Formats: sequence, C-alpha cells, structure tokens
Amino acid sequence: MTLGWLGEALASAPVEHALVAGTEIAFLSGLVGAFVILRGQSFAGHVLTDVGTTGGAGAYLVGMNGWLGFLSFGVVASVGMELTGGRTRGERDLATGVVLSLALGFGALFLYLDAQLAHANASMAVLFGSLFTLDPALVPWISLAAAACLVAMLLIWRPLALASVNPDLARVRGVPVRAISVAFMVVLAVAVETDALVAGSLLATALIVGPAATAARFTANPLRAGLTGGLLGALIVAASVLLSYDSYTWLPQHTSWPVSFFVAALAFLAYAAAAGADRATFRRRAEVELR
Amino acid sequence: MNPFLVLAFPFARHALLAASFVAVAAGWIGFYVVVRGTAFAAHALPKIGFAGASGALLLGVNSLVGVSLYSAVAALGIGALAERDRRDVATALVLALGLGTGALFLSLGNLYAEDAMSLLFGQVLGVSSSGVIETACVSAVGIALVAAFHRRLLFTTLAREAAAVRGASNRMADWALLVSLGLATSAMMPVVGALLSFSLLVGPALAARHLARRPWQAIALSVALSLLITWLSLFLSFSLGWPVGFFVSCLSALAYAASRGSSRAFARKTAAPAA
Repeated sequence: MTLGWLGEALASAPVEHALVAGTEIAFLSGLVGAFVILRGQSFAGHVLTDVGTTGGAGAYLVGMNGWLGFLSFGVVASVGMELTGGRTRGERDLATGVVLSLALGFGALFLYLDAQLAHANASMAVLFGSLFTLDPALVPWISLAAAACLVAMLLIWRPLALASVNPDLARVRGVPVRAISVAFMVVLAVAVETDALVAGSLLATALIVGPAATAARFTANPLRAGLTGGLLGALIVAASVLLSYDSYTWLPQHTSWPVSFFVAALAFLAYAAAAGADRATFRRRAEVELR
Repeated sequence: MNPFLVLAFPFARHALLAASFVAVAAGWIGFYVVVRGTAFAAHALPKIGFAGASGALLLGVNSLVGVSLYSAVAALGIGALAERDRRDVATALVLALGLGTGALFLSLGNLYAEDAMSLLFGQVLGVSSSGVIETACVSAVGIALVAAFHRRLLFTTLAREAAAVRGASNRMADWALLVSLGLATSAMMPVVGALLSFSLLVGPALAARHLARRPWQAIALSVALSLLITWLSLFLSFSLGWPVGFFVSCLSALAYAASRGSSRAFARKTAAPAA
C-alpha cells in the first residue's frame, strides 16, 4: 500500500519537479555548508536568506521572476559582506547586522506593498517557499546553476580548504585568499537563494547548516564532511517532499503540511542523533585514553 | 493625516505608549547584545517568537504567552546546545527548527497571509489598553533581568579569564541575556514585528557605543536614541501608512552611520594635535 501512494506521488509532475530541483540544490547546500561550518559563517549564510527575502519581494513587486530577485540581491550582498568584513567575528557580525536590518526594513516595505497590490500569496511564497508550484521552466535553470556551482566548488576546493583553515599559510603559499573567499560567497549565495525556493527564505538556513553540522560531528575532513552533508541534505529534501505530499491525509481537515517544516524538523533530528552518537563515541574514546 | 491629530484617538496613544516601553527595553538590552557580540541570537530569538505567536494563534491562547514561552525555551535551547557545539551553529539550528514549526502552525491554522504579515512586521494599531500593560510588564522584567546581571555580563565579557578565576559564571550571564532577549522580543512583536525588532535591538546600541565611553553612559544614550527612533518611526508610519518596521530599520542604520562618521571625525581631530 505504501508503494501505492509513493508511485502516485512520483507520477505527479509537481512532485517530480520538486524532487529533482530540491535534491540537486540540497546536495550543493550540504557541500557548501561544510565550508560554512568550517569558516564560522552561519550568520552570513542566514543573512543571505533575509536579503533574498527583500530581493524576492521586490521581484514580485515589479513582476519579475522570484528566483532572479533572490539571486541578484543575494549575490550582491554576499560580495559586499565579504569585501567589507571586519577584524573579529563579533565585530563582523554586528556590521553584518546593520546591513541585515536595513535589508529587512526594505523587505518589510516591499512585502507590504506586495500585499497592497493584492499579491498576498506572493509574500507567503517568498517567506515559506512553494516547491510544489515551482515553474517547470525554471527546473533546467536550477540544475544548470547547481552544476555550475558544483564545478566552481571543485575548482577552488583545495585553496579554499587551506584558506579556511589557515589563511596566513595560504597567503604565504600564494593563494589569492580574498578572491577565493569572494568566489565562495557567490557560490553560497546561489545555494542559499535557491534553497529559498525549496524551503522559503525563512528556512533556507536549515539546509545550509543542518546537514553540514551533522556531518561535521563525524569527520573533520572537508571533502568527507561535504559529501556526507550533501547526501544527507538531498535525502532530507526527498523525504520532506514525499512526507509533505502524504501529509494531506494525516489530519481530518486535509491540509498538506509545509515542506519547509519537514526539512527543518528532519535536519534538526539528524543533528540531534549525530550529536548523541558523537558524545557516546567521545566518551568511549576518552575512557580508552585514560586507561 | 497630521500625525499630532492622530494622538486624539486612543489606539494611537496605546501604540505610542507600548512603543515607548518597547524602545526602552530594546535600547537597554541591546547594549549587552552589542558588547557581547551576540547579534545572531538577537536576530534569531524574535524570529522564533514569531513561530510561538503563530502557535498561539492556532491554539487560540494569548499570543504574548506563546511568544514568551517559545522564545524562552529557544533561549535555553541555544544556551544548552552552544555548550557542545559552536554557538553560531547552535543558534542556526534552533532558529531553523523554530521557524519550521512556525510554518507548520501557520498552515495548520489555515491562517492567512495577513496574520503572518502582522506577526512578522507588527500591527501597532491593534494594541489594546491591556496590551499596553502587558507590554510594560514584560519589558520591565526583561530590563530587571539584565540589570541584575549587569556587572557579571560586563565582567565575563571584558575580562573573561579574571571572571573565571573569580568564579563569576559566564553561563548564568549568558542565559540571563538570552532569556531577557526573549522577553523583549515578545514585547516588541506587536509593535515592530518579529523581523525588525532586531533593528531596534542592535541599531541604537551600536550607535551609542561609538559615542559613549562608560557603560551607563552608553546605556542611557542607547535608550534615548531608541526612544527617538521609535517615536519618529511611529509618526512617519501614521502619516504615510507604511510599516513601522521599515522606518525603524532605516533610522537605526542612519543613526549608526552618523555616529560612526562623527566618532571618526572626532578621532581625527584629537589625533591631529598629538601628531
């Protein structure tokens, strides 16, 4: 019987598009997320989602494609944040915060104007995602963007890893640290803003940080962490899409539960399980060393 | 409409009163946020509070209860997770989980976009007289909490080793700040909304830090700036009809930019004779 609804779900075109675009971008997010964790840029990653809100809301306002709005604002903000970065992490966070609050303010204005112009659903789509109503024409473009980001990540992988762990050594070795950082931020922006289509701009953080933080509990090797995080992310999105499809029948009032809820919940569960398992092995290891 | 004539209506007076309490709390608590550099938590807790408010709407209970409960639990969760993993990761994970449940509440409650919008961006004209009292109480408790921990919050930030030697617990201070952030959030939610309470927390305090030299000076200046920004935003919003939060965020950024510029000019002037 389970296969029955699964087959039915897989046969539906919106579910298929959601699965294809969602898993692709989730894989990229997990991969990129490994470096977000390594470089301590969770806040920057999260800020990009909020800046994307402004872009998406603005795009709806002028009747443009939402994804392009997300992307253009995200890429500009990511480059700007990287170039104006402060000295310490706290300082950087506060400077980021001012930019973020300004972006949120304009986002509020755009969403308000969207609502005034009777695009009430536009604001919900921007904030909470609308994977099932994804424009089929966008799917190849999303695949293309994901593939381009993947290639870019592979090209800068080694210098990026070195620059993230030890920027001074990287500089001595002749790695263009700043250019690499900017390139990484652009890839991050593309991943984050496309996640916003899957899970909504409020929840894109879950896909960037969740799977990667889970993977980071097990391995310090960025390649292994990236691949594990990517696969885990893809798995989470696939499961979320199917669960959301199935949840229509869970409650008597027949509302399908949002994909973004399942993404966030599964990502957190995976992390909690990993943290528990990690602590158990850590204790065992510590006992061995004590002996 | 003339913004001063609007004050003849009770709803406008309620809005002004509630906004003033909120502004004092935000300016005060924001000082510690800036000193300790916990901008991410200050941004995450209001968003989580939004989820709590949508849960309260779903269950039909007072939204202030929902927000306070949800953001207090989230604050403790961030504090507990941050002991085992990096702080930004812990914050991001709790934030994502909170917002995920918020999305679920909104869709299960069949709430319309307008409900979500008013939670996210504030609905200051809907504040009732009992709402004003609630806001005042919650703000006061939040301020009392950080004021009680004032010395410890500063000590553990500015001289961490010395504080550890003297046995001042950083963890208690941390949790006190997070919980009072959660409280301030729930007070701010109806006024400026979940997304922009962050602006009011960080903007005035950052501006004050560039101008003041002593902690109490900075706190007083931050509270004053935050009051000024809030009143101006309310009047602008009354007269133009745009969301309050938009003006709050613009004015906060403006205050920050102005204070940074003036402190830089001042530094150059004092440096010049010395050279």
